[in-house]
Amino acid sequence: MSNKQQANLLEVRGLTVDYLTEKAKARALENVSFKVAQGSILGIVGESGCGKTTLMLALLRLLPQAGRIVAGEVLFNGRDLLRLSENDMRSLRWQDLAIIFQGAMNALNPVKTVEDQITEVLLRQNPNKTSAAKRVDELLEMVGIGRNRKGQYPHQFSGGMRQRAMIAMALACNPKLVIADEPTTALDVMVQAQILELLLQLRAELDLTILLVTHDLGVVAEVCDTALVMYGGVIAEHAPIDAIFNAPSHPYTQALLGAFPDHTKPKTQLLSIPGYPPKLDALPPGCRFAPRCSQVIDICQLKTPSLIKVSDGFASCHLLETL
Amino acid sequence: MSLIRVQNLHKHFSLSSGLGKNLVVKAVDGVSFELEKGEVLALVGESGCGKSTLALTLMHLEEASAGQVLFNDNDITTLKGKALKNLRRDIQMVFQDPYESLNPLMTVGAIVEEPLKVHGLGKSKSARQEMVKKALEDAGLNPAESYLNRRPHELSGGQRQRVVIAAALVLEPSLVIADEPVSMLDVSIRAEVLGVLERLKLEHSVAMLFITHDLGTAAHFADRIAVMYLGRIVELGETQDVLENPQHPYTKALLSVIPVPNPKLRRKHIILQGDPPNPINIPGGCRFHPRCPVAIPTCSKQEVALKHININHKAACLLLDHSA
Amino acid sequence: MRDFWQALRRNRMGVIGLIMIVLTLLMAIFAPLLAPYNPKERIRVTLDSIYAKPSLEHPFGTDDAGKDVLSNFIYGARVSLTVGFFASFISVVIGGTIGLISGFFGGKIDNLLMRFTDIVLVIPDLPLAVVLVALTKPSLMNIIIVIGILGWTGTARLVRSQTISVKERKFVLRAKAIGAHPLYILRNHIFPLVLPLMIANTVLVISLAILNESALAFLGLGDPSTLSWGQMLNFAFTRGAMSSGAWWALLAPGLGIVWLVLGCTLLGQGFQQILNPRLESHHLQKSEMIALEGSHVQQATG
Ligand SMILES: Nc1ncnc2c1ncn2[C@@H]1O[C@H](COP(=O)(O)OP(=O)(O)OP(=O)(O)O)[C@@H](O)[C@H]1O
Ligand SMILES: Nc1ncnc2c1ncn2[C@@H]1O[C@H](COP(=O)(O)OP(=O)(O)OP(=O)(O)O)[C@@H](O)[C@H]1O
Ligand SMILES: [Mg+2]
Ligand SMILES: [Mg+2]
Repeated sequence: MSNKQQANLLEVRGLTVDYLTEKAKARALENVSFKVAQGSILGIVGESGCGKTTLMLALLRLLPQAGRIVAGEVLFNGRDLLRLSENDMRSLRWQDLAIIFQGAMNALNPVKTVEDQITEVLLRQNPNKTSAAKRVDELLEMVGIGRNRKGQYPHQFSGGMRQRAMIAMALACNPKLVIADEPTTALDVMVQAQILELLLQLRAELDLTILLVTHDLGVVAEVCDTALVMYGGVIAEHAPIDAIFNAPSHPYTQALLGAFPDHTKPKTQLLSIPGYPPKLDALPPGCRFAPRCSQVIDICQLKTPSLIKVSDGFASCHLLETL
Repeated sequence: MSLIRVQNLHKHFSLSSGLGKNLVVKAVDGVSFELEKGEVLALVGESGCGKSTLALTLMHLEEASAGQVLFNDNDITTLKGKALKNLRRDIQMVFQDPYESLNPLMTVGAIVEEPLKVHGLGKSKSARQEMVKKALEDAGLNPAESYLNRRPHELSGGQRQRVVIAAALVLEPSLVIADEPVSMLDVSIRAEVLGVLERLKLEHSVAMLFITHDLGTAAHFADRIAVMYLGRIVELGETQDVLENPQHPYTKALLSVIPVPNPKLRRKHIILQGDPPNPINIPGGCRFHPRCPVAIPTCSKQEVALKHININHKAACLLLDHSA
Repeated sequence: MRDFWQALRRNRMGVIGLIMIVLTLLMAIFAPLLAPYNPKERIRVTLDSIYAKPSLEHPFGTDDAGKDVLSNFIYGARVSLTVGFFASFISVVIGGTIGLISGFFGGKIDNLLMRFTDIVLVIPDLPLAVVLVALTKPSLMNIIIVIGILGWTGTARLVRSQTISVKERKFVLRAKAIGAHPLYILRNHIFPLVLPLMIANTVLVISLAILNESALAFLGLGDPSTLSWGQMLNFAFTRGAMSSGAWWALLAPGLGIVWLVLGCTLLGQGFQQILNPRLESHHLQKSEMIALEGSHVQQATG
């Protein structure tokens, strides 16, 4: 499904982010590089705390106070977002880039109607009230919220409806790139299926490029074209999903697949990954996955592997270098 | 003899709507099933279908509105006082959220010892200490000594959930009710906690009611699966049977939308429209009919009961009669 | 506990409040060493020594009876602090018990107790205290009791709401599932988690009690055998300090009351700031916070 001929809408090179806390400096992202083709859906997976949200916020330069982008480039349509002035970035953030924050459906303003909240976003862009009203109807229809419900308050909406409203808000200014941070995590499977279907349909209609953050490998397999597997702030593997699921290169990807339940294969043993993800302020020397890796060799504990090209994608593992 | 037999159990909550009119939430509305010694039954269903309420009612943490629960053939529905306290040793519960289910001020040792103290078990402090260590090790926290004096905030999510499991184990129950015990944990840790539960079943022949909304996890772990919809069980059967040969349209839809980690297997999804229904206004006839993709006019008129498809597989759908 | 001290050390308001209270406390304890004169000592009064201006001999001047204001002030701290501590102890015990029972058992008991609390709450404290103290004898003990039994409503409400939120947490349900007795749960699971907030609240209640005592004394209902800051004010007002321009007789006790009340309020608020976020320890909440922060940034810049 991914269209290799098409240009890359987004290219990230060597992105490195630190969090400065009172006690120490924690490197939340290290040397993250990847490309996203126009019109494709990139799935970003990894365990809690591996830096998925940090990566998304860094792309938009929306990191919290403590976060610092230390190095790297974020090329969007060839322009480096990290070099733009705050003003240019601001207008770009609304027009071309949109983000659906993790847990944001619970952050809707409880005392304003859903309609008002979407209108507000539109008016910031273009202060014409009648065209805004028309656009609100259009957006709500697009995300499948009936007109009769637009005057209601967020608490009258179910979780799925609120997430739809968030998507409508994100789409308000016709963005090219939509970043969705765990848009279905707190939702029921059936509602999750509805939201994912909506995203796929919108992608087709509006030629959106989507970065979909999730920790559910099943969701990646269902809707994404390529996947980025992250571990402890670095990219473990980045490849088209066929390669990720059928011929994973990185031992972490393999382990993750072994631990993930699949109802089409009942009664197969789930394999746990021993140990715990690394703490960012106490990273192991060498490869970050080495302490939990079943295929660890001597060099893993000494040297950090770099991201190298493997058959279909990229992976960072010493085993692949020695081949 | 079944370990536990649930017969037509109901749990209704009444809400006052402020207008003087009383609304009744029919959270559990006629559930029946049996569980054998050492068996794992997975209970799956959408959010709000009544899974947790069923668990709390079985645990006597909520009072049943109607129906019966037989434990080892004794009716436990109306137990009180001492008899109820004794029953609590046999049935234990593990909750979804390991961050919330441990008292942040207590040490791991004190948490696991607490049930023993409450029931006056163990002759001395040191005897109890031995039992605590054994429970921690059974729950996969090795070596137990190194955990005894830690507090919950010094543990990871997986470790916390294992402390909860140890605190349930220490009373040597014959039934454990686990309400989404792994849904808050990361995949890599999930498998480990499931492994601990599996060992419980195999080595201590503990029976388990395993509540989850994730059919994938249920598939790997359960002997049988019960699918719940709006307060009722609509399909019940052996795991493999239910997954490969689902009979109820709701089970079919649910199975079709569970994401499968296999891009070659992108199936046709049966997406039910609308939100999960509301247990205040349960539709008449078959309660699934308003969302059912294959409903026929009779469905809205006629109540349906579970019917056997084979000896171990039951489902509640009118269409099953028609095709039979 | 260590964490708590560290957090307190970083909390500016709390530290300032604590220092203010400790200084006052030291002054009260070491009053005999610090005070240049003993206020109980009989002195010969001359016309010059009444409302004498501040001088080297009497740094804060003298009062209507020719006594050293500084010494009165130093000893007066003892009365204010005694009343503050004991009265607030009574308030917190009553309020804490009512709040715990009300929040934990809920239902009818809760309704009854909260209605009672509301009644006590709407009765204006001071007038009732005046009546009660006037009816009984205005001794230190009576003043403490009256202030104590009128000042518990805030504590009761706070403890009740905290009890309810702790009660809803899963470890309490787990304790029930083990078969623990409700009173055991109340004592071992709920009380320890409510206690820190109660302690923080105590500090605020102390400041209220000190204010009430001063007000009573100012209205002439102080214990005649002791001299509190409120009484110093009362004497100064009623015995012509204003008309003779003796501002110094008012200044010290007035500032003393403000100082102590401010210290307690700062420390109490410092405590609450530290304790409130600490009652949560949820990892999802953290990421939600981050998300929320993110959306604020967006709103601010967008
Ligand atoms: N404001 C912050 N200050 C300091 N450290 C932070 C901050 N925000 C995040 N971190 C740390 O950075 C790391 C990455 O966090 P991030 O939120 O990006 O993870 P994530 O992959 O999105 O996790 P989740 O799946 O839980 O959402 C974590 O270890 C986290 O503790
Ligand atoms: N104490 C209560 N009072 C009133 N209604 C309740 C009460 N507890 C649960 N309910 C309602 O009963 C229904 C079933 O709730 P329950 O928590 O059992 O669902 P569940 O299947 O466990 O859902 P989830 O998957 O979200 O945990 C819901 O509609 C809920 O709102
Ligand atoms: Mg995140
Ligand atoms: Mg539940």
